[in-house]
Amino acid sequence: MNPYGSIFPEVLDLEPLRKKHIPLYRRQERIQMDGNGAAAIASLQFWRAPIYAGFPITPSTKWLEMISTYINAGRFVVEENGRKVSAKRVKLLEAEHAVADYLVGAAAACRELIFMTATSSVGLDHMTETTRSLGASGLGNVVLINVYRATANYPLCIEGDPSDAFAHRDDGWIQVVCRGKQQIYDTLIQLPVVGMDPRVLIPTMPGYYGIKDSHRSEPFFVEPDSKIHEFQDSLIPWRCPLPGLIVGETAMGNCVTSAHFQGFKWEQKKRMDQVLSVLTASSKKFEEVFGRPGIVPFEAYFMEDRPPRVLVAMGPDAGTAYEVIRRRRKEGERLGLVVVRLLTPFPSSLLREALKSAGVIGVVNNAFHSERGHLTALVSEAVSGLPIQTTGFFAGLGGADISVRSWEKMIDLLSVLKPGESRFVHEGEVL
Amino acid sequence: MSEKRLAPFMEMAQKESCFRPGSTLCVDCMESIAFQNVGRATDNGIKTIYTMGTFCGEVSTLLWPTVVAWGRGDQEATQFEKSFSIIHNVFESASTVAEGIRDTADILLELGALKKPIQVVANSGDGGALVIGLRSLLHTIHRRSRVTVVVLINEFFANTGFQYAVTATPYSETSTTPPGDFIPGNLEEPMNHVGLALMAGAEFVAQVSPAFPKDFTEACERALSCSETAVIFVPSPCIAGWKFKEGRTIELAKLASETGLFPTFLKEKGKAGSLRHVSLDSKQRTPILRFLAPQRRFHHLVHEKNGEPAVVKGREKEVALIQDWANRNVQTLQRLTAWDVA
Amino acid sequence: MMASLQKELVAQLKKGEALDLRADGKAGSGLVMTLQVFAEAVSLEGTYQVQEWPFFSSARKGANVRGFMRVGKGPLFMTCQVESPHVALLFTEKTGEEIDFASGVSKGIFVLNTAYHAIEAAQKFRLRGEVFTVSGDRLGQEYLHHPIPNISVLAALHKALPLVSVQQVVQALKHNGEKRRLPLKAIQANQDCLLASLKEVSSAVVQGEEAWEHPLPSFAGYEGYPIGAQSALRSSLQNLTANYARTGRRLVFQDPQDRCTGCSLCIVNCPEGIIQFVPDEKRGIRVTGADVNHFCKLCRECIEACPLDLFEEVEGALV
Ligand SMILES: Cc1ncc(C[n+]2csc(CCOP(=O)(O)OP(=O)(O)O)c2C)c(N)n1
Ligand code: SF4
Ligand code: SF4
Ligand code: SF4
Repeated sequence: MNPYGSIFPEVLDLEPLRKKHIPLYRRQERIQMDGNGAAAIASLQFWRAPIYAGFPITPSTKWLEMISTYINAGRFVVEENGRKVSAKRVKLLEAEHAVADYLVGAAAACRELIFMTATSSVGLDHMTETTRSLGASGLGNVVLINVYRATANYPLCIEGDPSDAFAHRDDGWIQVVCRGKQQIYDTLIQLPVVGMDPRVLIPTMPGYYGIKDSHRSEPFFVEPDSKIHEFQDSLIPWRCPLPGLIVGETAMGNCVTSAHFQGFKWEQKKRMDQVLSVLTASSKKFEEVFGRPGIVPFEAYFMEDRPPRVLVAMGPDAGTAYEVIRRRRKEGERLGLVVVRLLTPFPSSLLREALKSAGVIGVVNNAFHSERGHLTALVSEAVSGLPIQTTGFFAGLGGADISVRSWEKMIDLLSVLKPGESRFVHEGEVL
Repeated sequence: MSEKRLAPFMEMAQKESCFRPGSTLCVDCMESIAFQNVGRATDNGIKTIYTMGTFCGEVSTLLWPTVVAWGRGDQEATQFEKSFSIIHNVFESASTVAEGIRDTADILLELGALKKPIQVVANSGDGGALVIGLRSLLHTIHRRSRVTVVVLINEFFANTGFQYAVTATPYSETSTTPPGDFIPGNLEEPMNHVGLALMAGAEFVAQVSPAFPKDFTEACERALSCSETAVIFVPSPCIAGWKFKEGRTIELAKLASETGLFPTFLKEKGKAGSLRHVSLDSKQRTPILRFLAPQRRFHHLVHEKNGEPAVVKGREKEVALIQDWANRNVQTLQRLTAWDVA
Repeated sequence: MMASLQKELVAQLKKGEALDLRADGKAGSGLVMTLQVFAEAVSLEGTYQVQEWPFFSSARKGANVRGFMRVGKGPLFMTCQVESPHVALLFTEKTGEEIDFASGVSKGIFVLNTAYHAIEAAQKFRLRGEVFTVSGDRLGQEYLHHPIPNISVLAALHKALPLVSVQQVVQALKHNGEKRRLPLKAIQANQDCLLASLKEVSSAVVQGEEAWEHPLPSFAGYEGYPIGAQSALRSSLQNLTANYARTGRRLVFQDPQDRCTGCSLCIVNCPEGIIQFVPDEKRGIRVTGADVNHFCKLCRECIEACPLDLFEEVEGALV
């Protein structure tokens, strides 16, 4: 007997859905668009995503608006028994909490399909009760696009800052940070196959910075839908081994007592431990199919000569850091840069290996934290025991600009600050 | 089988419920009786999926590893139509989760991927649907989602120990409105849940308990055949929190209707509704004392003496006010039988 | 006369070693209240510190529940649950049949609500040490009009563990009643029940047999736990809730004259859905009984529902 309950495979055949998908692109093209647009395009290219749920919040709203525009224009209309029906639908709910609850129902109903939404800041916080449940549920077919925005409302700020993402690190989702439109687009395509891998079955939260990435346009390559399907279908099993509510006879969301709860958390953690290897394998496949690298746990720049001083950063501002470091290296300074992409599960061992010969690491945090910064804490933990000094910086909170002067200042401070210190830096000044 | 057609509920009695014995619900819990009977009504040849809020009816029936008290019949289903699934998510969103399932099944059906239909039933307590979950309930109704919502009304948050909920009878004891010398129990009048469901646009609204099997069966069948949202409010005496003797659950559910506190009500959009098992003439109506006396949650107001109810000295006013509330409640519901959304 | 184990434990307490109690029974047996009152009495007496806590679950009336108590001289630092109690209490015999209420105790003090004499109870549950029994259901019925053993077990516990005076127990009991806003009459009835029960506690020192062991439960590991706690259906068919029924009572269905009309009221009113029936030419169906031995919680709804009074509650054990 299947411990998850029996399955009636004959009542559901997804082939018609796959066949009736109307492609957005038939060949590779280079298009110019902002981050929300890149995410929306990718989302619409999945034949497995028939319903998009949402509730508006800046800066993620444009994802939902763009999806609605395509769908309402009739872009996905097919004829069924003489009737015109849209193979893709938008579901507008009355609150983010409802969006998350709705996704639970939809994703549990059919585990082979992908159900998506996008949200930010207090919107994600409003979902918390359910995102934390989803993280443990085994429903790896939910994708929540987190467009980073400051939390909370005293004072209210609608610009990009990953405090929402960090606040949800323990919700049990896979969190990947993107910078630039190509990364956003590619990550959207790749991440669901990791979440839906039977060894993983963990919902995914691709993320990018509000405004700085969501609202800045740049060119990127879009791929033909058929190729995306080829990639996804080669890694997502045609049938999830666990029954969904429709095809199965099954119970989800059981209660347990303290005698068993830990067992489920142990099991959940074992699946989380699989993520890195599943991700790496899918990145290899991604590169084979698309000719671009897939998701990496982190990007390493100028690390070949094992520089003694390294900055660790996240998000679009790392681009400025790259340029500043490139310039200073030309002047002979041995500096390195690491840009974090896999936030959860945090790739501690790989990072430790990459950083092991650094003497000083400066970790740049873009979100408020009561101590030295979330990222500082994670990186310090990763290199603990090594003779490395970690220093924390706070910069770019609430989407504040991180200017060249500020990066210069942080680099200068690397050799000045005492171990364990952390400083706010803005416009080249230290606080 | 005889030629003579049986009363509908007698036919119903022979169907296979999707609720199994072995739950840890209290001895004589009405939620259990309701599950048995809604469970029978769903044995109609269509695959059934339940969603659950967090409440007594969930924590006592969906408990891993040995108390998953669901499934149609005692054996794994061999036919899809008899199969059953259930999901619990959080306290307050059974109807939203149900909507997610409904829409997914619909699009799969429409595109020819799913070969057979399903029906979805959302279950919560009154706390889960009318207090913390009112948003979820009303918006699902407002969106006209084709789900049947079952709300088990026991007048408080039973699962967490009988705290006040918005449905509580005036002056009743709850653990957060304990009657004291200063405040004699719950001072709030209940919310008009039937009116809200109608105004939000439900296709069918019923308030009916399995104590009236004929009406209950009728309500379930009508609800399941709706093409938009149907809501069944099930007044559910709670033996542990109302504190009465075993074997009186059905009796109290009948009294709840007959006294006008929870009259039986059925109404379909665009058609005249009906109020049943309650006298429209307040003089003919069963006095609320009959309902209050057997329950220790009204002990500060009424006692049962030699089987007859007697008002506690000094509490005549409160008892009169409950009676007044019951009378007004019947009037309101009577008006609602003729009320329709534009 | 204090028996030796008792003496040993009291001496141990005086030396500063904590004393652990564990109680098992059905929710609704008054287990928590007994522990609360005893704890308050110990507190009133003042020599010892005491902690009292339940194993928290969403168990409903009729399900097995567990409570703990720890008594000690100084501040109580230990917070873990009681695995090997010095005193093990059993409030509901049925619980004792389902789980080992003495697990972790090779020799100890036992307090049981049962109609058996201490010697017989020791034999039945394989207990070694000092055994105290009291017929709590009967005394509850007599004094409180309800077969609830909490007050009688309190009396037996008082005898088993002489840490406080009767007056202190009475005072704590009164307090507890007031806190729960019981009417004066009920508070008085509780006191009467306590005093009467004190006279009816039987006790025995039991040598028992070496083989009467009560091992600690062993941890089976977490391997094989399903993802997300998703599961197949119907596991509750292993959860035999007939044990929820009041001890010593059961339901019977008798229809020797074949009177059942097939009206179905019993079927639709049964919370467990366990009324059994067969097709019948004339009446549509004919009821033949109920699955009493597995799932009947003895809620009495079928008894109330049947217009012909074909169901009845009787004295007797399950088969
Ligand atoms: C957000 C949230 N708040 C509080 C709770 C605690 N809680 C669980 S069930 C419940 C009460 C359920 O009451 P109701 O819906 O009326 O159902 P009943 O138990 O009375 O059948 C509460 C307060 C919770 N689970 N989630
Ligand atoms: S507390 Fe009330 S609602 Fe909950 S299981 Fe017991 S009787 Fe049913
Ligand atoms: S007493 Fe009757 S109604 Fe109650 S559980 Fe037993 S068989 Fe069912
Ligand atoms: S209630 Fe009595 S008469 Fe009616 S079906 Fe049941 S046993 Fe037969």
